Amino acid sequence: MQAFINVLSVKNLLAMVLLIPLGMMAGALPGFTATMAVSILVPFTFVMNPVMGLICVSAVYCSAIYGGAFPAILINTPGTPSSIATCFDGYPMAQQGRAQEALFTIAFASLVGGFIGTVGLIAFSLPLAKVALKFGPPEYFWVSIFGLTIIAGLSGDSLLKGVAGGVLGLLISTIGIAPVGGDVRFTFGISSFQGGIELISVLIGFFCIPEVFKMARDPLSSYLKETQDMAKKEGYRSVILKGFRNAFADITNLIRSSVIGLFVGILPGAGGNIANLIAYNEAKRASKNPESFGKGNPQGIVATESADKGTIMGSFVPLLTLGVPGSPVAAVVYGALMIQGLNPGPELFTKHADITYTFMVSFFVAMALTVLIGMFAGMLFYQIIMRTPIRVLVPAILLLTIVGSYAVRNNYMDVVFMLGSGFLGYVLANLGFSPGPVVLGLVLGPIAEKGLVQGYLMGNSISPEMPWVIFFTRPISIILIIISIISALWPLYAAKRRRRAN
Amino acid sequence: MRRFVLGLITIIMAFVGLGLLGGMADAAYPERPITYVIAFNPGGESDITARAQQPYLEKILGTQIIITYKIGGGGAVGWSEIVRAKPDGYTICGHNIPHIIVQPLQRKDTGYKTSDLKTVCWFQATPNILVVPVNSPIKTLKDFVKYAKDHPGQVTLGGSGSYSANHLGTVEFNELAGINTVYIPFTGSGDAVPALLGGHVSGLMTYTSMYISYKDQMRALAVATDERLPLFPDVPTFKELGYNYVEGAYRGICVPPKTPDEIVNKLADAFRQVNETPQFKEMMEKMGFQLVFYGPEESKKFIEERAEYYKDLMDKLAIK
Amino acid sequence: MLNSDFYGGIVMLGFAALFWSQLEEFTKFGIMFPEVIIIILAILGVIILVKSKIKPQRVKSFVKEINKPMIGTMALSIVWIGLANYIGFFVISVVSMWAIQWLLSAERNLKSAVVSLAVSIISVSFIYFVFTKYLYIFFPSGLLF
Repeated sequence: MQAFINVLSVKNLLAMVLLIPLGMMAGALPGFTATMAVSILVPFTFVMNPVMGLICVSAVYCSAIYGGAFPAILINTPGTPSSIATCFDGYPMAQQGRAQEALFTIAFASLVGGFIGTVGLIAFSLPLAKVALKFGPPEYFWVSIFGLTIIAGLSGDSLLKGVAGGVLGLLISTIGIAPVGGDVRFTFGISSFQGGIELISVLIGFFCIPEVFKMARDPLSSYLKETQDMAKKEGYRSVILKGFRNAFADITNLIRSSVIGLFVGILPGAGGNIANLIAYNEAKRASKNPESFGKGNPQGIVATESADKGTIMGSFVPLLTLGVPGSPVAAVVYGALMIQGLNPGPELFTKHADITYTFMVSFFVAMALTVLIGMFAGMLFYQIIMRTPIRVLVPAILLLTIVGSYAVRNNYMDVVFMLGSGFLGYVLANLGFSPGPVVLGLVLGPIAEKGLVQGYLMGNSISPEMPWVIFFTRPISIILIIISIISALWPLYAAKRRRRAN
Repeated sequence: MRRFVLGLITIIMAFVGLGLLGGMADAAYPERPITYVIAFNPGGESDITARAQQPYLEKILGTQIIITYKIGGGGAVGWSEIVRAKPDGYTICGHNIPHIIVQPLQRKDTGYKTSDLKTVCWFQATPNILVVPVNSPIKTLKDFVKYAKDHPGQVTLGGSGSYSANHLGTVEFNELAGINTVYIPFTGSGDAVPALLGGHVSGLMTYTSMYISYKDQMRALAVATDERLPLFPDVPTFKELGYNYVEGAYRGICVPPKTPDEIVNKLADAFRQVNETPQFKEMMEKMGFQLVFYGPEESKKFIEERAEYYKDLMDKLAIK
Repeated sequence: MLNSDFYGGIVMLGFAALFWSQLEEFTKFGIMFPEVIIIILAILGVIILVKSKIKPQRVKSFVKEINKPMIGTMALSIVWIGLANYIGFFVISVVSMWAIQWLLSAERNLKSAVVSLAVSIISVSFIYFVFTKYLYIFFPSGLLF
C-alpha cells in the first residue's frame, strides 16, 4: 500500500505525465523502439533517486509500446515490433473508416492487459520466474516451433505460400554471425551485415513501403474520404462506446491474450515480439468466424494490444526476481539499476522491497495514464494523418521511416535494406505471399537456431550417440511438442468443422 | 520545370556554403563534444562501464561525452566503422580483447584489421571465473576436475560468445587440466546465467562481474587471475591450484588509425585519471571489474603478446 | 493474368539458390541450421512450381496498376536512399521530399513549389534538430551536408 502512495506523489505523477507523450511519440515513429526510448531515458535517471528513475522507466516503456499501435492502425506499419499483429486487423478497420473505433478499442484492451500484467508481476513473480528458469535451449527450440505453427493463421489464402514465406524468413534471419561457432554467414561481402538483419527494417519494408507506394498511385484522393469517417458520422461518443464494447465483447479473448502476454514476456529472450502474434492466432482460432480476421475484426486488435501490454510487466519478472533481464528493455534497466547501486536479484525483494514494490505498482498507474493520454493522442494522430494531403503524407512517411530504420543501430545499411525489403514485400504480397509469415520466421529464426544448436551440444554431452534425444525427453519440451502438433493440425480440423457447418 | 531546377540549384549552393563553413579546423583539443562509441548493446558491461566513466571524463577533459551505440557482429560492426572515422580525436570507441585479435583471425571479412585500431589504453579487465550452481555437489576445483575426468565430454560449461575469453579460456583450461568439457556459447553473459540457474548446464566459465551479481546462487571454484581478488578473497586462483591459467576480457579505448599522438596521449591520460579516482575505483571493483592500465605504448606490446598467444590457441583449435 | 504460383515458386527457388551459393566452409554448428532451411525452401519452391502447372492461382497482374506517380515515387525513394550517404542526408532529403510533392501535386505553380519546399525544409530540419541535439543520433553527411 505504501508503494501505491509513493507512486502517486505529485513529483512522480508529473514526471509520468511529461514523459508519456514523449514515449508515445517515440513508439509511434516506426523504427524507434521501446528499447531505444528507454535507453535514451536511462542516463537522465542517474541524477534522480532510484524510485523516480524506475517510475520514469515504466512510464516511457508503457507509452512507447502503446504508441506503436498508432502507425499500425493508421499506416499499416508497426511502430514497435510488439504491434506487428495489430496491423492485420487495425489497418483494415482504418480503411473502413473505423480508425477511431480501433484506437479506442485498443485503449480499453491495453488497460486490462496492463492490469493483468501488473497483478501477475506483483503476485506471481517468484513462481513465474521459477517456471521461466526451467526453459532451457530445447524448450526455446520448441517454443519457436510452436510460434511457427502460427503461420497457418497468418497465411491468408495459401498455406503453402505462408509456410514458404516463413522458411524464407528463417533463412534471412541466419545472416550474420552464427550463435554457435561464430561463423560469419551470408554477409555477401557487406561488413555491416555481420550484425545481422535488423527486424525493424524488414517490418517497415514489408508493411509500410508497399502501402506508401499504393498511396502514391492515387495522389489526388485523400487518405480517407470525409464521408467514410465513421467518427464524424456518428459522433465521438458512439465511437468510444463501440471501442469499449469491442474490448469487453469477448472477455475470454481479452483475458487469455493478456495472460499470453504475461507468460511469453517472462521467457528471457522470447518476449513482446511474438506474444502479440501468438495472442492474435489464438483469438482467431477461438473465434466463431475466423475468416473475418484480417478484414477488420476488432477482436484481433483486442488480442494483440492486451498481449503486448502484458509482456511489459512480464519482461520484468526475471529481472526483479532472479536478476536476469528478460528483454532488451529489462537489460537496459539492469544496467541502470547497477549504476544506482541496486543489485538486480533477490536482494530487490528483501533489502530494497519498498523500491521494488513501488516500481511494480507504478506500471499500473503508468498504464492507466498512458491509456488516458493515449486516447487523446490517438485522436490527434488520426486528425493529422487525415488532414495531410497525400502529396505531403507520402514523402513525410518516407522521411520518418528512413530516419526510424537508421536510428535503430546507427547503421545506414539498415535503411537500404528497408527499401529493398519494401520492393520485395510489394512483389511478394502481390504474388500471394503475405508478409506476416516472413516476419514471423525472421523473429523466430534466432531463437530456433540457438535452441537447436545449444540443445544439440547439451544432448551430445549427455549421450554422444543419440544427441537429439534430449529434445524429446524433457517434461516441458514434451508439453510444448504436443501443443505444437495440435496447433499445426488445427487448420485441418477447422476446415473440417467449417465444411460440416456448411 | 525550369523554376524547379533553379530552386534546386539555389538550395544546393546554399548547403555547399553551410557545409564548407562547418568544416573549418579547430585549435585546442577537445573543443567539441567527444563521441564515445559502444560496440555492444545498451545495458551490457561496456555500456555500464562507459556511463560510469562519463562524468569523470567530462570533468577531466572539459567537454561533453556523448555515448552512442554501433551494435552488431560481436563488436565488429562498430570497429569496422571506427577505422574509417575522422582521425580528429572526437570519435573514440570502446574495444575488447580477445575480440579485436580473434575476430580478424577467425573470420574472412570483419571490416577491420587488428593493426588498424589505434589503441589509446586498456583500462579494465574482467577475469574469467569458473562457477557451478550453489547447490551443486561439486565443492572445489579438485572435485570439478575429477568429475570431468570421470565423465569426459559430459560436463557442459556455458559462457558468453564463441571465440571469446570465456570460450578460449575453457579450451585453455581443458588443455591444462587434461579434461574434456563441452563449451556451450550463449549470446551474452545475460543469456548464460539462466541456463546455469535452471540447471541446463553443469557450470559456467563466465566473467567476475556476473559472479558478483549472482553471488548467492553461484559457487565460484576458481578465478583466472594472478592473485586473489579482494572482492571475494576466499575464491582461489587457478594459478595457486596448479593451473597456469590467467585469462579474461580486457576493455579499452581505440581511435581511428591516423589520429595524432598528442590527442591519443591526452585521452590516455584522462582515462588513467578516471581509473585512479577513488569513487570510480570503488564502484567498478564492487561490480566485479578489475582496473588495470596500459598506456598507448604498453598497449602495443600487450596486444602483440596476446595476439601471439591467441594465434597459437586458434591453431590448436583448428587442428582439433 | 499472372500465374502467381509460377513466379512465386521462382522467387523462392531464387532465394534458395542465392543463399546456397554463399555456403562456404562453415563449422559444423554454423551450417546445421541454414543448410536444412535452404533445402526446405528449395523443396517448397519446387512444390509451388508444380502447383503452378496443376492448379495455378491466377491474380490480376499488379504490374498494370503501377502508374506514373507510383513509379516516380519508387524511383525517387531509390535515389533518396542511394545518394544520402554521398550527398548528405539533409540535402538529399529536402530535395527528394520536394520532388515527390511536386510529382504528386495536381497544380504545379510557383506558389505550390515554394510551399512544398518550405514543408520539406521545415520537416527535415525538425527531424535533424531533434535527433542530433537530443538523441545524439547523427546522420550520414556526404559531400554537402
